[in-house]
Amino acid sequence: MTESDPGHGSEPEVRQGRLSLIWLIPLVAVGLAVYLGIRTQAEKGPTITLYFATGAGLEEGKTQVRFKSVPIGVVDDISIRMEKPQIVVRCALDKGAEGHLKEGSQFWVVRPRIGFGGVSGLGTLVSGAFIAFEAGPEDGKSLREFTGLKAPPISEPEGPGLKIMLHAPELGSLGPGTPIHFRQIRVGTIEGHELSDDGVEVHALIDPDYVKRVRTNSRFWNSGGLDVQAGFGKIDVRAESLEALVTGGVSFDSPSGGKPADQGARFLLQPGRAELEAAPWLYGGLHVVVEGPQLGGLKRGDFVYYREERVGAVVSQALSTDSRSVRVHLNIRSPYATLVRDNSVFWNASGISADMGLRGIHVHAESLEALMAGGIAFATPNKPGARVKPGSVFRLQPELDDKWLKWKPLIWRGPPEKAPADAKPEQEGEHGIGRFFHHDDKSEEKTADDGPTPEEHEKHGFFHRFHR
Amino acid sequence: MSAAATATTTAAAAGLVRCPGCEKLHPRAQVAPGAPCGRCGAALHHRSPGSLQRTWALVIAAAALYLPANVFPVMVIEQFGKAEADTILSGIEALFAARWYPIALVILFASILVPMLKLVGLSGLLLAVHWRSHWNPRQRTVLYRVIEAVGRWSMLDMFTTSLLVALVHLGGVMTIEPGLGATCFAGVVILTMFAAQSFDPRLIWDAMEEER
Repeated sequence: MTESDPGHGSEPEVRQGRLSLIWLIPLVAVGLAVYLGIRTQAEKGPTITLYFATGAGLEEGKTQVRFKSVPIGVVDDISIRMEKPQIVVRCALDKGAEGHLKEGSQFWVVRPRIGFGGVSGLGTLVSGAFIAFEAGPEDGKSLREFTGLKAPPISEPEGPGLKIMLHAPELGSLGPGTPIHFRQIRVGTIEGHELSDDGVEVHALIDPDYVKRVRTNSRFWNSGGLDVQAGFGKIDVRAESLEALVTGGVSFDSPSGGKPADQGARFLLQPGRAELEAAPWLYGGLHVVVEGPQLGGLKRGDFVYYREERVGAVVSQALSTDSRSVRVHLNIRSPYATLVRDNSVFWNASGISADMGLRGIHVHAESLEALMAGGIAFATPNKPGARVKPGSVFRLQPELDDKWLKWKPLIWRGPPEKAPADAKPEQEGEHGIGRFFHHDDKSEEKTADDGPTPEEHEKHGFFHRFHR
Repeated sequence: MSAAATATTTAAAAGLVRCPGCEKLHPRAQVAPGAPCGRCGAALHHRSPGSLQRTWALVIAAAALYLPANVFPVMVIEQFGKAEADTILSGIEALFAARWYPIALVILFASILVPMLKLVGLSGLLLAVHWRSHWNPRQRTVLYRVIEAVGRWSMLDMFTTSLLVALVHLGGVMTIEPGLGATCFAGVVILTMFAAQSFDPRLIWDAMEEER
């Protein structure tokens, strides 16, 4: 309504001093911009420098740094350092990572790995590699420069589950991802391995659910491949599982007794099941040395027979130190240890195969299985001598004397049995339980002799329960 | 340059108010600011009320958002779980690197140059009005028209982004999400469009009229 000079051009409507509400818009906009800027600045985490041997798969601005697969940063800049020569990777991390960049933190590049044991890092196949980060100990010194690992660390620190070490003379076909089986159920995996002075240390991780299964007396063996036991008229082929057959694997069993294993417990990894049966240090059997003029085809894994029953195995053989004889180390499994007396005689069960054609009667005398597979047999006279100490040395008899086969000493290894005589014996070595005593000749074995050890009692009791 | 201005008699000089809706001229003395037009009912003003103030406010707001719009990612492309964030500039850079020059130029023009032109141009126009500049009023009017006409083209980016975001939802394979930059950029475009609209180009000429 102003009657101002039209030419004046400054209408009160236009130039009024009053602030219009419109100024809220720039206010909000500026506030927003400032807030975003501050927030970005506040979220800006530390910048770290990593040194890698190779830059394969790393991309500036794209490659992520991840902590347990969660992105926590991104590669900012990749440059090279000629003097080392190394790849220098600068990464911008989130603020949350600040407190974890301690001495001992580990960085490694995750690339796809495809093997029989499984596929890992598959995501990286399409998304490209990423840098994995594992925080160091909380009380470590704060660092901003790290040297990247060449390969993933053997086990992610403080991962759930039980970490154990398996000592083996050689790696075999084990590798990261190789499964560990317990009663053919997958309970863990091989995490990695490293060389030690006297073999290979294999790091294994048992899944949390199965930690209880590993006992101090657990026995581990390499279950990869086929275990073929060729006997007369029967070939027993065992494979732990198809998976283990292809990928290799480790199995273990846990005999009764034994306490739960501790973190980092160390076990021996036997090359196979047969060797396991022959391993006295694990099996708790009786160690016996047999000394003879020559080996006569004996080898590690051959069985030891008593009345044609397998009671032990050959652990190792070696030339004696004076080079005049060979020494064969046997392990007699604990239920049968009492059968060995100081007056026992040992002979090479495979040695008579040469005379087989001529002396047919002797072929029947010794088990054909032993003839085929080789092994050592022993017999104890009708009047058993004293029990022997571990490591006792026996002479390997050059020739089988027929009268040994007629010896029927009475040696009690358990209480008189009431179970049906046709009860099928357990698979050897399973759960560390011995077999039933075979009743070849019941009438002569009825008097008590050598009381069974409490341990044997327990085993028998367990066995009975098991079969009822 | 005042030739154009002096050659014509302006409505203001003649003491008239033009209806913004139907162009009817009303004697200014008889019309209160904001009164309805006798013919079409549109609000009558000698000059758009608060035009300068509003334009300034919107331009400042747009300028404030222009920075985050360019710093923050516009689009986050998540491919196989691996997120890749692109700002406007990095996107253009990538297009140039891929030798898609026409597209790169279009985006460069629509997303970088146009918003900048609008911000700088509008600020220039506003300052000129403040200083009652006589400098090239005609050119300034042309500039204003260009700014107003070209403004909407900046929305090209927004359309592309929103289409991609809506269409590309391939679960774990590929997902596109708008970044913070996109929001800011949309703010810049909308605010500059309103700013251009709220600027009353007649103000350019008022300074000329004063001279006479």
